[in-house]
Amino acid sequence: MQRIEIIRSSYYDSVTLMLVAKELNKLAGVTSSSLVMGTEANYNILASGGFDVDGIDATPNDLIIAVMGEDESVLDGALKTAKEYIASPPWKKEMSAGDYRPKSLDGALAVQKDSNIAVISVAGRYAGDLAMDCIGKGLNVMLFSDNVPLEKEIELKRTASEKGLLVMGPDCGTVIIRGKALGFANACPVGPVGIVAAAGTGLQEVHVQLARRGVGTLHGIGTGGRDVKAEVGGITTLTAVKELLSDDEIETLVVVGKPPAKEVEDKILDLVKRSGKPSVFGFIGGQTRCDEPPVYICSELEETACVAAALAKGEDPAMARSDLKAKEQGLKNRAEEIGRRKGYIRGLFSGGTLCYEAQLVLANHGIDTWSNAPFSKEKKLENSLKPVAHSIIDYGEDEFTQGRLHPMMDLTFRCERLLAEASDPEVSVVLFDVVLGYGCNPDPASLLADAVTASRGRSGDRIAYVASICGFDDDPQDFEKQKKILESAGVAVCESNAQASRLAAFLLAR
Amino acid sequence: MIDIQEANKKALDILLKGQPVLLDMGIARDTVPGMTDRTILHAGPPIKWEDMSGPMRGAVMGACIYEGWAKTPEEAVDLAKSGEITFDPCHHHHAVGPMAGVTSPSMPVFVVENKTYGNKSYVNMNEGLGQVLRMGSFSQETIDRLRWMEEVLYPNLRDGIRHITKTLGGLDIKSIIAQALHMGDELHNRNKAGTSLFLRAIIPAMIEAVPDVRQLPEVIRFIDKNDHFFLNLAMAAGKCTLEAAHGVEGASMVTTMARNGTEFGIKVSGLGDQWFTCQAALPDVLLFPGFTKDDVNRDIGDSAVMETSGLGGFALAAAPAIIQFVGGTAQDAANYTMEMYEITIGENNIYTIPAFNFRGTPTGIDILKVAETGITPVLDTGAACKEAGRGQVGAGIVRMPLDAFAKAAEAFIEKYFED
Amino acid sequence: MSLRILKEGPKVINFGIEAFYEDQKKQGVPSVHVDWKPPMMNASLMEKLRKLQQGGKKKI
Repeated sequence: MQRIEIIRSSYYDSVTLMLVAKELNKLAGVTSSSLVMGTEANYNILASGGFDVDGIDATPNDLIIAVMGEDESVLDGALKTAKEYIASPPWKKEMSAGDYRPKSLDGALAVQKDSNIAVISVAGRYAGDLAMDCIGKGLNVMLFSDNVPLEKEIELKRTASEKGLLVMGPDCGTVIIRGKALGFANACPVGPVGIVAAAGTGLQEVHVQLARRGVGTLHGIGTGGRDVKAEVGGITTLTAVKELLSDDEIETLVVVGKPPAKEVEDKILDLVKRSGKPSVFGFIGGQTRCDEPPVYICSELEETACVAAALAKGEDPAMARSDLKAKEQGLKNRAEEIGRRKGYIRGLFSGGTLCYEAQLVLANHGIDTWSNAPFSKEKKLENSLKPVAHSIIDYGEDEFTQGRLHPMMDLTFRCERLLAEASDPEVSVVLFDVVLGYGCNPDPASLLADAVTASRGRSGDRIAYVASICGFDDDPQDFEKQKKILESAGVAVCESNAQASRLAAFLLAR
Repeated sequence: MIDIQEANKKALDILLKGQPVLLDMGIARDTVPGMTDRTILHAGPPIKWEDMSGPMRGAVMGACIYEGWAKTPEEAVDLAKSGEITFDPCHHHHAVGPMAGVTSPSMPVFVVENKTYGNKSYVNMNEGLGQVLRMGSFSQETIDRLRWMEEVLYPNLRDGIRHITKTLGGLDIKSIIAQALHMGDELHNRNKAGTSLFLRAIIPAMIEAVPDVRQLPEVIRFIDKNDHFFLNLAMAAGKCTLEAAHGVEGASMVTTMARNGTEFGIKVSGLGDQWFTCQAALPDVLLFPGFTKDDVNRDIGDSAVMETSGLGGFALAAAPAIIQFVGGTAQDAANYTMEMYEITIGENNIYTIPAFNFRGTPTGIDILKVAETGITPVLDTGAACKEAGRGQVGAGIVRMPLDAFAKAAEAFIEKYFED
Repeated sequence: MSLRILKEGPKVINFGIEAFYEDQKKQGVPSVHVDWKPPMMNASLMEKLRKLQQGGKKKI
């Protein structure tokens, strides 16, 4: 049956009317509907649509609402709805925030002419060319992407260097500029420290450890993991070091990462010594060198931060170091409390440098570990998914991140692996990192705590869980809360990655 | 030594300097270059009868009947198949046509001249909505209307236009377009303001020039009832300004973009006479009452010349009312235009967008930017019914297919890059 | 040579992970997110196009 109603002397845009008709046709029981102004042509359209238009006396200034439906109540409802919709169209969304998303570099530059840096996290095989385009337009580049060929990296850095621009990366996860975090980084205060890091979580750990000691950081320049190799020659590292040494806002320089190629290391040390600015080197796993104040050489991340903080506060670095060393006794005591045990340690890490440091600390305590990213080639795991004996795995390595989100963002896989370790009867200590800050998962502690609890279901008290949180009070995840969640699940949370690794070492009975 | 940027700048410059002026009207046979007694011109790239879609076939059949070459639709089909008719793109004859774009020898056409460069373009008159030839109708109503247009509409318009030409040098189409753009038209799907402005100009001229003013009421009413009347003139204006910019060595600017209901095709300034084609898009548009998705014919018409010259879908930010066709907001309309800036060479000098602080519309589609970014031109167009003669089924936003641009970009690189 | 960005602060064009863009905005960093997609053409053509645009040899 049909119903036709006329609303006199009203004008509606034909588009609006069509959209209302479209909505009415969605109502249950409505077979057809049409809203048109009463012109001759529209009468014909209604008629050809099956409506009986005899006796309708609408003029071109009147609106005809025509509905066909199953029964009277359907038609009543449809007409009511039609009038509501005309008055207040349901499809009219709020004006969007106005953020136009350009689809190209040129488009972006047209919108923000004074851009000075491109942050690139697209697939590696495209990232290099995109970075080159950006350099061509006078932009610095933070290249978060990995899987960028070495030759491309060299070409990018050489070209950028000629133009006075910086390329941070590839595989650079963390950059801090004037206290602002790009990529994965923590919300720490700003201060007179400048960090140059060939290592994302290396930068993060030092950044956080400085903040915990009341010292802020102004700039944290990531260089990418390969920059200090001979082939690249440390282009970005040297540029960054030069800049920070001559920057009067920076009072203390920190350089952190795996040990560079000899010629690069020498160049850096040379620059630093000539400038005379207090500097701390954290060459994780490097040869122990002697300090040459105001240049200090450290081999662990917390130690690096500790010495740098002392310098920044005008305190004695030697005192700071010995205070730190003194904590070892506390860790030994804690290991006794938790209960020392025989068995293997498995490390599940999301931060590459943290994984590396953990291996080194364990090695220093006589525990040699296998890894997918080992510090010595002989200890490379054949299959990253099959840890053996003592194994420390970096879940941020390439084999795990192809087509998957970084483990600092998505903890699913690491949690699965944690549960799997519980089923191995020889595993007695599980060590992991929890990274907070921008870019990271909003609640890693809960996910890991759940995995730990589930694992206990399988392993009982056999496994001792040890962790450190790379985070600070102001981080979006709420540091204190994250700590409590882990502790409630029976995880021993330590102040730093080095301390957690040490505690793990002390837990393994000798 | 050729620089692509310089070449494109030159091509865009020529496009923007164009001054399209309506000078005259004539019968296609005598007026359109290359027209023969058995030529039927059509929209889009070259196409054979066998490959034509419903609306195109219907229009061809209607033209055959209108011309008196066939008495029935069946005879028309036989004739079309026979090979006696020469089918050719309007574009090959400096002409354009909306939807099927069928232009036959007896049809009256507008003559628009690009005063800056001296080249001319041609287009027939817009029939209005409903049972019309350009949607593939070959009904008696359609034929009768075409005859009336030839016998009554044409001579009166012609006399009015000639009068304007004699007294003012011609009717400045570009100026009407620029004003219409500030009055809510985007000059492809909304031409109400343009049509109104055209009427204001032509009525007094016709009153002064025509032999029998008693014909004028029905002439004026016809144009008045057809909100899209001005579209054809805007298309001819676009055509003659773009043609002057064709043939610039090293330029990657699109000078022709058109569809024939089966295929989509483009021509590029620096790539000579070659068409780059691929399958035409299937429009996903807001449907008029009584039609479903299955009724929609593939994209058809030379009206893409509007976007090619920086209007239509490219000027959506100036005509936000249209965006309701896709249930969008005024911000969406603005975003479409913003996107088009990313694939064009520059901005228009005369066609400006009030909402963007009178920034010129994105003008001069660059095939290289399209290939690089994957952003394809956005058109604001009508969709025809697959079945000949059932008319328009809907209207909305349609994206042009990437393939033709990729082919053109490849050809461009092959031509101009030397190792 | 002086890296002006260290004095100006970052003004970002963000390609890829949208979460990074959101974080930038949260910190009040001027940022534009690009809805980036890989180029349509294959790598070798893109290579030639790049060279062409950067002033590679062209036929006259």
